[in-house]
Parts: sequence; structure tokens; C-alpha cells
Amino acid sequence: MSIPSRLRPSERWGRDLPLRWKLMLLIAVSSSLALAVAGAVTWVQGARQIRHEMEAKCTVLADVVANNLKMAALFEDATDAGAVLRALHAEPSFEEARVFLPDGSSLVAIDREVEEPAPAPLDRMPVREPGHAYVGDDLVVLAPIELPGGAGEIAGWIFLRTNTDALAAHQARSTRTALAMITVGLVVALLIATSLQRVITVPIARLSQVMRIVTEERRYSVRAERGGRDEMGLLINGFNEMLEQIEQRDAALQDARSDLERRVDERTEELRHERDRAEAAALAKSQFLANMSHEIRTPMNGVLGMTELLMQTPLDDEQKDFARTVHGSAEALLTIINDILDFSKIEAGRMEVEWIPFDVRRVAHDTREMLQVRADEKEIELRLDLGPELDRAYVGDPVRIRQVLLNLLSNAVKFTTEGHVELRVSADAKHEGKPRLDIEVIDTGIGIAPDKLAQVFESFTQADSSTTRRFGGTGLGLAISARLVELMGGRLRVESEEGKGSRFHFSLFLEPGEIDDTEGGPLDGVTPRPRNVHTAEVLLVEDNVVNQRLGVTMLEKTGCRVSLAQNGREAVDYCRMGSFDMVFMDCAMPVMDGFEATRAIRALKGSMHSVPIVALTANAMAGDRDRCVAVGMDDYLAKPFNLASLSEMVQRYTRTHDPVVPGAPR
Amino acid sequence: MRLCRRRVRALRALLVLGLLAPGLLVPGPSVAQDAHDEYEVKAAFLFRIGRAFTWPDSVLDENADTLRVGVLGRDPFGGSLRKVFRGKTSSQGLAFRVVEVASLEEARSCQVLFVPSGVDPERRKWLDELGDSGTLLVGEVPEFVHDQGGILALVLQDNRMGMVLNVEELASSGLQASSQFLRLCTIVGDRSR
Repeated sequence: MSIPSRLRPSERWGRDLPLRWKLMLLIAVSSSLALAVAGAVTWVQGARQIRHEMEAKCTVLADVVANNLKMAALFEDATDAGAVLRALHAEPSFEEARVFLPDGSSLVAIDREVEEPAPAPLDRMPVREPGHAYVGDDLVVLAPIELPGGAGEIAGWIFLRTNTDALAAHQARSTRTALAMITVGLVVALLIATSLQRVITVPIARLSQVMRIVTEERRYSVRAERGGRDEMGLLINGFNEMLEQIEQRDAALQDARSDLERRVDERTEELRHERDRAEAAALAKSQFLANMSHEIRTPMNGVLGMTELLMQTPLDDEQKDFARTVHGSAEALLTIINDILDFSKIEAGRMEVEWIPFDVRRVAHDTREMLQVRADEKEIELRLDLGPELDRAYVGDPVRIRQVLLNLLSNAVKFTTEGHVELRVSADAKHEGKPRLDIEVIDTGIGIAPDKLAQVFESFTQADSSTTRRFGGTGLGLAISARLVELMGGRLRVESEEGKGSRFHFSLFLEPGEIDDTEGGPLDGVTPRPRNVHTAEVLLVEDNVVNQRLGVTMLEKTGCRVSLAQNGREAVDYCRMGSFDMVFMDCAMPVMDGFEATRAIRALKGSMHSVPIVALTANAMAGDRDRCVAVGMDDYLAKPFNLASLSEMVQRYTRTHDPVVPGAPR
Repeated sequence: MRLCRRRVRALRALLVLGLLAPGLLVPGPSVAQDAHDEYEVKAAFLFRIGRAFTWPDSVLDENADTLRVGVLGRDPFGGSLRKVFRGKTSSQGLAFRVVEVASLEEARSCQVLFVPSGVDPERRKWLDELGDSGTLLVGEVPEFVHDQGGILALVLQDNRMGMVLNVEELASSGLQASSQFLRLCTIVGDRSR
């Protein structure tokens, strides 16, 4: 189907000219050629005939004159011969006539234009034998003058010269005729061709119109008008068949495509269904976990609280030991529950990070403090190395950073049998705009085998399954820590040498911030302890009997005077009538829940509408805190709480009513 | 013939000269020379006449194959006449024969009879006898055709040899001349008769 690209100009011209003009040109050229040939033949034949006629006429004329000159020639009478010759002037083509005697001498000569032409002998004439010849444009004839009786002897010669004006006139005339014929013929041929070419070009034009529609509009349903049975007809039929096939193929393709689309839709629908089911299942799982945590925390609150209270009663050593063991086990259980809860929150993407100003040093001190006892028990040195630039606040999530540090440090303490565990915190304030906080936990423990390093941060993984058996734990700690560091924009890394120790470290880019440090508080590194320094009026709103007892006992231990409300409505009534320094509000209660009660208290007139309200809830899922803040609560204490945290809350909200609330919007 | 023409021209030139200046003409031999040339021209004319005419069979001898050209009386041509006709034939294919005519019978047998101007009157009378014999009578002076019964006269006119034809005599002789021949002649006599 390739078209030769290199064409001579004439070929390209012949190729690009519209078919209509090609046909016209073809007809014009062939007809004018035919007409020209016909004209030329007519012209030549006419000229030949005219010449023949001229020759015949001239010869006859010469014969007649010769016959008339017999006596004049015989008697060599120039006068009479001249008289005879002068009669030739009547002939239009006559130019010159001469009579010669038999010996060739001139007898007489006349000429149309010359009065008395010079005599000349016969041998100077252009013809010397009887016959004719052409001299220039003239026809000359020589004829004998025969004697009367004709015995072969002659009396002389007659020489005639005639012009060929007739021939020239004929030629001019027939040229004009031929040209006129060609012109008229050409015009007529073109006129006929104009209508005849339609026979060919109109079907082609229709066909190309249809092709244009097909090409531009992609309509394959159009058909070219069927022609006759000639080549054009065959072409059009072939084209139509081609269109038919394309259309069928298109339809088949369309079918296949819609079938495919339908199947894709079906599959997508199936997948969507699967996904919805999976999501529903995940939601159910989360819900289940939330419920579970709530359901477990509520009794755990009792176990821990009561054990704590039990240990402050007079007990003998053995009983104290039992109680301490119960308390330790309950705390371990709570840690595991919290880990699982955190992990499920991370997996569900519901773990959120706060950005609030905090004191890094305090977090580090707190963490060390919490592990100091365990380190002392194992006789391991617990070092804290705080770099400069830390005496200022950074914006971040202290709770999560504390969780990570606690995790790493407790791991380090757990896997170190001798030597030390070091927590290094340093800041590089000049690092690319945002200060960088570098945190390292270094131990001299058992270390991690190189082939296990990569799996350290994976869920439910400890370096060795035997490790779990030897050291306990869920194996979730490092996975949760790594995810938390990622959430805060860092990356937890580990270097370790088996038998020599490990180094866990990460960096966080944190904005510097300002801390409203009116609390003073535990910046000295001392964990608040229950001290009976207050006699605050506290309202506890709690429906569960065990927790009522626990709460009342604990608060009294803290040195508060406690009023108990069974539900939200009672709490609102108490607040309307009495006066309290603060309210501990359970969230899930019959009659009126904690949220509604808080809203009602906040709507009261008088001093009680701004009383500090701290939520007590077992719903330790993300969003609970937001919900509490939204209804106007000041703080949040997750169940199970211990005496220390309860005491801290009391201290915070009764010593000063300035509501410094971590997590409350500022 | 060429020679003959040249002589005619020379003759004409001399005659013109003679007419313009008669005193310069030299008598004697030149006159004799002129006379001789004149007869040569006349002999040529006689030959042409012999060829120009067609004689009816009635005036030709039965089974004769000759055409007789006679000279009445003494021959003034001096042999040139015989020379002109020798070996020639007429338009009818007859052989010319030049004869000297001494009797009426002989004259009657000729188809062309030249009558010199100096013929004796006795013989001239024969001409009346020959009026309807089909003999073409040719003389040398205009009087010959005017009143002596002759048919044709060869006359020098305007320095050229001319022919005078009496059509009455021609008609009565039973001969016919072509219109072309008539054009060459000075016609006398009543043509209608």
C-alpha cells in the first residue's frame, strides 16, 4: 500500500489533480488531438487537391493557348502571338507567359506586372521539358505548340507562370476552418465531458463523502449509494462490505467491552462488599476492644485500688507480700491490656498525636523515676544524660514520648543483667530551622543477633520466641514504640551486638514552644505523692458500688471530704444545692450520664457552673478525651486509676483553680 | 529556320535604313542580295502556307502521296524553295514536291502555285482557268489578289512580310483557311460571298 514518495513533478501533478479535472483534461487532450489530426489531414488533402486542380487548370490553359498559337508560331508572328497571350490577363492567377520558337528563341513575352519583359531563350526558363514545376510560390508550365495535322513536329513552346494565391488562400481558409473546427469541437467535447464526467466523478465524490463521514464522525452505519455493475459499483460495494464488517466488529468489540465492564463492575461490587465486610469486621473488632478494655478496666480499677488500700492497712509481712504480688500482677495485666489497646488503635489508624508544649527534662526524669526501683532490684545502674539546650519547652506529645521512653527503658532494664542502662537526650537547636531532639537508650544487655535485628520492630516479635518465655511481655512494646515515633515524624533505629548490648535511638524535629509553668510542680524531678495537705470538698459521681467505695476511700486518703452521687441527676442536684471544690464524674451511668450532667452543671448559675470536673472513664479509646472536653470537663482520668494519679488530680484542681489542662485547647 | 529569321531581320533593318536614307543605298550587288533574301523568306512562307492549309480530297490526285508546289514560269527562288521543302511533309502527311509549271495542265495539278510578279501575261491568263481547281494561287503583289484572280499575296508591308488574302477567291476555289490563319492575313474581298 506504500505510495512511491519520489515522483517527477509531472507525475505528482498528474496524481494530485482532482479526478474531475483529469477526466476533463483527458477528454480535451484526446479530442483536440483527434480534431487536430483530422484538421491536418483535411488541410493537407485540400492543399494537394487545390494543387492538382491548379496544375490541371494551368496545363489546360497552356494547351488551349498553345492550340490558339499554332499559326502565330508557325508564321513566327509575334503580334498575333502577343494578342493571343494578352487574353490571359483575364485569368486571375496569370503572372507571365512566353512563346518560344522550336529552336528555343523567344518569340514573345508578356508579364502581368512588367510592361515589356526582356526576351529570354527557352534554356533560361525554370522548366525546359513539357510539364509543370513550382518556382517559389508560382506554378510554371511548359507546353509544346503542335503543328496543324500534327506530324510530331512542333511550331514552338508556350511557357506559363501562374501564382498560387488560390493555394495560399485555401491554406489560410482551411487553417481557419481547422482552428474553428478544433475550437468548436473542443468546446462541444468539454461541454459533453462536463456532463459525462459526472457519470464517473459523482459516484466517487459520493463515496469520498461517505468516507469523510466515516473518518471524521466515526459513523460506521452509513453506506455509499450502490452504483452500477462497473468498477465503481464494485468499489462501492466493496467499501460497503468493509463498513459492514467494521460495524460488526465494532458491535462485537462493544459487546465484549460491555461484558468486560459488567464483569469488572460485578467484581468491583464483590470487592466493595468484601471490603465493607472487612471494615465492618475491623470496626466490630475495635468496638469489641473498646468494650473489652472498658469492661476489663472497671474491675481492674477495683483490684488495683483495693489492693493499694489493702497495703496501707496494718498487715504482717507475709500478707504484705501477697498484697504486693496481687498489685504487681494487676499492673502487669493492665500494661498488657494497654499495649494491646494501643496496638489496635495504631493498626486501625486511630492513634492520634498531640502537639502541645512540654518539658523534655521532666519527661526524662519521670521515666527514669518510674524504672528506678526495677533497676535497683536488678542492681543495674540507670543513668540519665541530659544535654544542653533542653532547658526550654518543645511542642510535641509528652504522653507518647513518655510511653516510648518507658518502653525502651523497661526493655533495656529487662534484658540487662549487669552493667548499666543509659538514657541520653540532647537537642540540636540549630538544625535546619526546626530543633532536632536526639534520644538514645543504650544498654549493656544480651543484645540482638544481626539476623533478628530487622524483625525487632515487627508486631508480636521478640528477638527469639524463647525470649518471650524467659523475659515475658507481649512483644508489642517495640512495635508500638516504632509506630509512635513514626507518627511523630521520626524513625526508631537499633544497633546491637550480641552479648554486648543494644542502642535504640530516634530523632524528632520539634518546634520550640513556651510553657505556662505556674504549676512549678514536679520540675524538681519528684513524683507527686499523696500528702494530706488539703481538706477539699469533692463530689464523686459513680454508679458502680465497688468503684464508689474505692473512690471514696482513695479520696479520703488524699484528705478530701467526699460526697457521693449515684448518677448524673443527683450530681446536678448536689451542685445546685451545695458547694464543692471539684467533681469526679463517671461517664457511663444510668438515669443521666456524665456528659449530660456536666452540660447541666455548666449551665447552672452561681459559682458551681465553673467547678473543675474530672472525668473518670474506662473508655480509654481516642476520642473520649475530646468528647469530655467538648461537654466542658476540665480533665480526664482513665480507669483504672491509682492513688497517685487521683491524688495528683486533686492537688492540681484544688490547690489552684486555674485550669491548666493538658490537652485542652488554648 | 534560325538562319532564315536572322536574314529577315537583317532585311528589315536594311529596308528601314533604305527608307530613312534612300541616298545612302548602294545599288548593284546589295539589291541582288536583298532580292535573294526576300525570296528565301518567301520560300519559308510558302512552306508554312503549305503546312497551314488542308486540301480536300477532291483536289488531291487519287492515290497521290505528294503535295505539289508549283512555280509559274521562271523560278525566282534560285533553288532555295526546293531546299526548304526537301524531305518535308504536309499536315496531311503528304510529301512536298516543288515543280516548275510550264503548262495549264501542270498548273492545274498543283495544290500551291506561286505566281511571280514578273510572269508573262500569257501565262497569267491561265489563272482564270484555275479559279475553282482547288489550287492555292500565291502572288507577290497586292494587285494579284485584288484584280488578277489570285488568292494570297506575300507582300512586304511595314518592313515585314505580310499576307493579303482574298476571301472571295478562297471561297470560290473550294479551299478553307483556319481562323488563326485569317488573323495573320490582311483580308480583301467580301467575306460574306
